[in-house]
Amino acid sequence: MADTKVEQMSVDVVRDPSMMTGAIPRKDWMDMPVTFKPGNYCYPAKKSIVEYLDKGLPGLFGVPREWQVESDDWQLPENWVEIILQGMRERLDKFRSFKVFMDICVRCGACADKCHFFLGTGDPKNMPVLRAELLRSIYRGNFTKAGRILGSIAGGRPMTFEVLKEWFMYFYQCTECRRCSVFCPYGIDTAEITMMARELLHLVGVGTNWILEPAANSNRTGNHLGLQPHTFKQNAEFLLDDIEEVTGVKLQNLTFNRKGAEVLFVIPSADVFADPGIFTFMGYLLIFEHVGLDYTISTYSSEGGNFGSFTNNELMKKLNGKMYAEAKRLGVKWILGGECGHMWRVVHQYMETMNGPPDNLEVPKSPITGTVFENAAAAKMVHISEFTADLIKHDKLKIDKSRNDHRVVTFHDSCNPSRGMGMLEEPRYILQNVCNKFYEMPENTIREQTFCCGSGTGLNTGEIMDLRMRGGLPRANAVKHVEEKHGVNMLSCICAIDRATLLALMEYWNPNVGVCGISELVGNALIMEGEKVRDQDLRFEELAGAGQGEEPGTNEEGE
Amino acid sequence: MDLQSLLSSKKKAILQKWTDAVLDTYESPGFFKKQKDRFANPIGATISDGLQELYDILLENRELDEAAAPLESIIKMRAVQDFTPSRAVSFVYQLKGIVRQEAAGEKNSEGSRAGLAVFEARLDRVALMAFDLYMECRERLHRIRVNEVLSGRSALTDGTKCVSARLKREQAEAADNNQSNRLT
Repeated sequence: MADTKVEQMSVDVVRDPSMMTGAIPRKDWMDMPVTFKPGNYCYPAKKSIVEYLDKGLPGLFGVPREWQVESDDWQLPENWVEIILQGMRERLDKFRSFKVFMDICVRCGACADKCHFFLGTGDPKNMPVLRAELLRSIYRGNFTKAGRILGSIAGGRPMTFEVLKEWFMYFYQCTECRRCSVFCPYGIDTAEITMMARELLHLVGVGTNWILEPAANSNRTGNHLGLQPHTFKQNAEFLLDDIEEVTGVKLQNLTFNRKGAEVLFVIPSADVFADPGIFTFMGYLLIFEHVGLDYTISTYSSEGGNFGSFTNNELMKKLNGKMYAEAKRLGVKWILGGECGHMWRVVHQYMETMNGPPDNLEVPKSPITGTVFENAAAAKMVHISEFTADLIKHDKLKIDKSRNDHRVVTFHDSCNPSRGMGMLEEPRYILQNVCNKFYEMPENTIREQTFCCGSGTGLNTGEIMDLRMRGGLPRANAVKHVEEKHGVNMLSCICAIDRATLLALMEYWNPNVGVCGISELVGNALIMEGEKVRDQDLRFEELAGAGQGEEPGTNEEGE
Repeated sequence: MDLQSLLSSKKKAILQKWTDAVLDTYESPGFFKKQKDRFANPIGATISDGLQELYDILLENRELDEAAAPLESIIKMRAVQDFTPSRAVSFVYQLKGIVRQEAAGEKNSEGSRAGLAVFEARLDRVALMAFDLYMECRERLHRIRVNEVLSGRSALTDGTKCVSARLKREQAEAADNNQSNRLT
């Protein structure tokens, strides 16, 4: 019996190959509906978490409730449109930048192909210009005369449930990395547009659990995991045993909540419990012990990462305020910060305005080298990479670079320290001084143009793993290049979210490449007083050869 | 003209059609086709390089095992993008239609028709490899999710990930063993 279907199909295949492509029909972007399905959205916040946050900051997180993203009923308050528009009105008045960013975009398209989410998905609504348009169209439709009268002809549209769904979909496919802003001729900070959109979403109770629960924990116990002081201390002290095991040296200088210390050290809390952050933490402690820094760690301000910055400026301010409050309570002179990402965006750009000036603190001055960190004169907070680079520059660290010879290293510029605070040289200077094998990724993927890990701003949650892999594709693609060209086996970075998310990214795209903080590499290379013969690194992995010592500066340079 | 000669003489045109057809499965393919910098356009570069390599393997009658690497580079991407499994691997079949179209357009298509069955049989094997690779990618993704959970909060309670906690446990176990050895 002849199979007519097969015959017909083979004719179709010859006549029209596109039958088999499954190509998506192209319509105007405003007419493309959003479909939520497992893997493309974050789980909504638990009712109990929203209740908790609502107690401290009433009205900013919407009505606490259980709701399902895939459902067509998000159980929004009846007047939710009014709440959004009122919220927008207030923010247009309060934040001049928001108003300017809504008005000045000429849709030149310079940003269109710069977003890692666009490059990894091909979804036009991930072009920064179009993502911003999701919000701008509501601005035009409700707050400009032309938009109110002409509607879609003037690029305006009314606020509907479909628009709200679009916001939740696409403003949670933006990591606020600001790569697009680098290319904008008007300097529009698209990250701040995402911030505003998320503030508005939270007002009607549309938020994700992976952001709000850590934010609630940070508020309650001082760190995003909700670790209580004794657990935090215990975990950190466990790592002293590891350091002793590897180096033969029992460190003496680690203290907690000690009043009168010169420096308060604030880290991303993942550094005391999660692999590979714990090795970075060991690196910090070795550096401080090596130079005899008088520092302490607070178990109350035990989180550098500011999950509030992914929700609204009020919670960001509240969580950030803990640093100055603890610095004041402990009577320290200045604050040193660990290898963290968005903590530095907040510290560098918002801290002084939100919680400053900290009149009890002094302009940071390194007690070891005498260097005054004028760049931190306002916030009074110095990045560990600035501190370490200054130590190396003044020849205060005894270094054996060969102890990192088993690592062929490249450096991922973490978005916030690089684009958010302009720190591009210090980490590289450190790497060149502690590793013999350091190779840069291609020019258009590093420094100001660095590609995001794809999981920042509270997107590093398991339920959107597919999405994270898409968003991280451009970064992984550049790592693959240096892996093939130079045999790179270690991706270094200076951000705790990177240390967590690049790990998953590498496991998928480049399984032979590990992830580390650069302080870990410093810790490996440091020659400690009274140390034993070092044959293992901080991960208890064998060194390439017995460290015989080598003068800094004799390395072959990276590309 | 036999199929081999056809595939060889029309290589550029066929590859271009194939690459364009695959890129057309994305919502805004214009950029992926235009941008030549492989770091600014990872999807475009990976697909165009991967398809070229696959085509060469088929054209030169090389061992099909060699197809695994270029196939994987493409499928790894499509397995995490917004495609159904069938659409993620459909690109292999797309070549069939394009080659048939080219063969049908020849004046004397008898010569190439003979080779078509063999060529398509090889392509079908590549398609089967594509299914396997797709599943491997999905399984890897799920393993990563599990690993992430294990290395996260649970580490606080069970101590499996904490190196020093593990060492302490091992030392305690070793001490226990010594103790019991001595007793026996």
